[in-house]
Amino acid sequence: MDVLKVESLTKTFGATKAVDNLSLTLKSGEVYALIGPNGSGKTTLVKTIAGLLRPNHGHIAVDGVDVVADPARAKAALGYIPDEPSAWTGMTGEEFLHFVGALWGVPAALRKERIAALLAEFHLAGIEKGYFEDYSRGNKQKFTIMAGLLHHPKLLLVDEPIVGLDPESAEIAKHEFRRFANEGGAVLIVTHTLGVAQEIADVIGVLKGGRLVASAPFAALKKKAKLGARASLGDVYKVLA
Amino acid sequence: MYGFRRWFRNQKIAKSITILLFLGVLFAVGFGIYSFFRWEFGLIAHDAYLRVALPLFFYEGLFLVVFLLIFVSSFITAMFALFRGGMGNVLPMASPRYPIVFWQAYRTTLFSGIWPLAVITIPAFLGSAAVFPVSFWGGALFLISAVCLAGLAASLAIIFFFIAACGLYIVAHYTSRRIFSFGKAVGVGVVAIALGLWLIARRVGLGDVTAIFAPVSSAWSTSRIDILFERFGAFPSHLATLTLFGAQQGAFGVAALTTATLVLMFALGALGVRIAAWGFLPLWQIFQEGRYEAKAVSTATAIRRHGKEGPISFPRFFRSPLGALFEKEGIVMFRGMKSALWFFFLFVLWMVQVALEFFIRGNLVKYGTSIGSALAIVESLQLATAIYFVSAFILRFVFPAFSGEGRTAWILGTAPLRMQNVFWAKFLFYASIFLALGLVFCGLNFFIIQTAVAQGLAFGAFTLLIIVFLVAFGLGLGAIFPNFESDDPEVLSTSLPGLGFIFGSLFYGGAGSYLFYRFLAGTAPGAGMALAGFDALTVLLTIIIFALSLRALGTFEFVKDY
Repeated sequence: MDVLKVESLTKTFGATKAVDNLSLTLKSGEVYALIGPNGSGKTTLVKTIAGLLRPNHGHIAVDGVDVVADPARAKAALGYIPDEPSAWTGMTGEEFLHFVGALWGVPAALRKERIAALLAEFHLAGIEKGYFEDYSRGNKQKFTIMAGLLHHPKLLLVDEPIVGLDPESAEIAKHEFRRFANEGGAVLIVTHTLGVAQEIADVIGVLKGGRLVASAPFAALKKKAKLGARASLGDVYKVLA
Repeated sequence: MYGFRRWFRNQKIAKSITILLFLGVLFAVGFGIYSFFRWEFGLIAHDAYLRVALPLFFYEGLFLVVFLLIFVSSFITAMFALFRGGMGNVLPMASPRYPIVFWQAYRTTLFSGIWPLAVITIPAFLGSAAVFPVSFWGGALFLISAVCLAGLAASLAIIFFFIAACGLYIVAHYTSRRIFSFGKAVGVGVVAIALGLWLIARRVGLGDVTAIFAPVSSAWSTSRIDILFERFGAFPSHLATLTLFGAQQGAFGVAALTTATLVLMFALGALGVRIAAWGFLPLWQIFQEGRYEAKAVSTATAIRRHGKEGPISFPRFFRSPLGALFEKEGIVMFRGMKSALWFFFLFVLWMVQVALEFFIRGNLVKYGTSIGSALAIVESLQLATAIYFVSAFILRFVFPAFSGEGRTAWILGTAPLRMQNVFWAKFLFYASIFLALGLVFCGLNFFIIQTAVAQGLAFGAFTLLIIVFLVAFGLGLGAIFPNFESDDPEVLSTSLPGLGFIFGSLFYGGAGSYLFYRFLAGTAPGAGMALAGFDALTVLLTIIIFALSLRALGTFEFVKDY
């Protein structure tokens, strides 16, 4: 089952084509990592799928629902974790999670239960009554990851997942994303941390100038780049990006 | 100048219109004040008994109010620019050149303090000078005095905060209590300011204004001015009054002396600020604790501040998406210290204005004068003031409501909501608050003026209708023309749509108040029909704004201007 289907997507800002006629598909249980140089259109692509930006051409369907035609239903099936974690001034971490849960229609009792479980998993129990703006960057990032997972979406969009996380938390986050996919979800990760992509992605896409120049499992990418079996994703990136 | 040229590099037509609109707003407000003073002084000039003392009373009152306004607004501006501003992030890197941050904040505070001069003091001076002429040099001396007065108020605000913070630090140190924080220092400052304002009101003696002008004996042909000097002489604004008064009376020596005194006081104020600058870095470091501290300490701070359960939670509306949005608006508005302080400041100003009406009525009753003859003017002025204050609130809080979501767009923009629902949640929230304020105002107005019930109801209905329109207008403009380049309400309100709102609300408020005056005065034929037409137009405009906003939100993108 295709959880995400992007067809001939183009997104422009004035004369600049940030995403150019791009198509990709994500199936249930799959982790897809998107890599590419700065300005290659990775974040724009994720933001367009998430509904923050409107496509100029093409179609995006999340869980079979068109993001432009029926945004509310499409967004109900996705979770988004931004590269810059932020919330409103004066909101505590706990309020932030309840707020996000309420927006996605998670019932209060279930929300409470899930929040407690996530807080324990990310070793954040006990700090949820602090103000969001007072948290360290890493903790803010963890709260946004929890917010993305809270409503059990079908598709998780993650922009730079482990920036600011300590090694232990980075491991937890990677484990969570993998587990989320194993339980039937699909994850689209945008990252510059090639180690993460190599470690947890089933399929890796290379984006360059808004175009998807390669999209395949790591082993196939190495073949495409005409590199040996011991080549790293960094080597592949140098050839393809 | 370089900054301006850089800003003006692109979108020149839109920015030229912005500048023209901005100047237009300044001119419109300034012209209104000028006309009012010219008219008022024109009337006074014909009264031999009052022609000296009454203008002096106006000067004293006006300059004192301007001085206090600049002091309080500088207090808020300076505190947040110094300790919670974006420049603060530069500070750890800028050391040992950290004073740059301090002086930048001081400069911002000075400039924002001097703004009221352009909009209030200078037009008032020109209005007065049109009736009571002033020589070129007299005018120049007055301008110097006014600038120094504004600078002194801004400097005193900074010194005052540092004194309040130091006082709190000493108490915290000697009592070993953990009470020293930015919020508490601001709190101590706010309480002290409130107390100071109350003492000033008592000294000025607003309770019995007419006593100031009462003749002591029948031999007196002009009103006394010594009683004014006695009541206002303790305030620095008195010196600016004397400069203007001296310049108008041909006493150039007095004007020069008072100007020199104000220049000296401003210099001393700047010296005080220089001394306060030495304490800036230690204070900044302490005030940042809680922002950069480790996670465990952060929560401990929150719990210490608010008790076992953490901060007081707003009533839990988190059961539905709309309720959650509603509650979020409450948190943003009242938990953010800067927003809360501005809200409180504007509210107090409004209530002070209402209280002035109360005092005036008390004076009229005391001396056996009926308000009846002036009812139409008083109620229309009250309405105009209410519209002005509600517009100021809306410009500060409602208009930036969508543009302010830039940083948090990833939550609202990806949630399974239609942006139209976000609009309705914001509208309901702000309309509820301002309608509640409007009801309080109408109740007070009814109590003070004691009109007939039907008239009171008409006034109330008209005010509430206007409030609904203004909230829709401000929110709608912000939604149709979002600006994600800044989330600072002060920057957003001087953008083209922000100035459009100021212009629109000024024009709309002026027209509404005038039509309401004609209706109450009952002299012009068809005034009732005109007012009904205005009401119908208001409803129609509100519907159009809703329609345009909802349509714009259908294709809303959280994106900066590329």
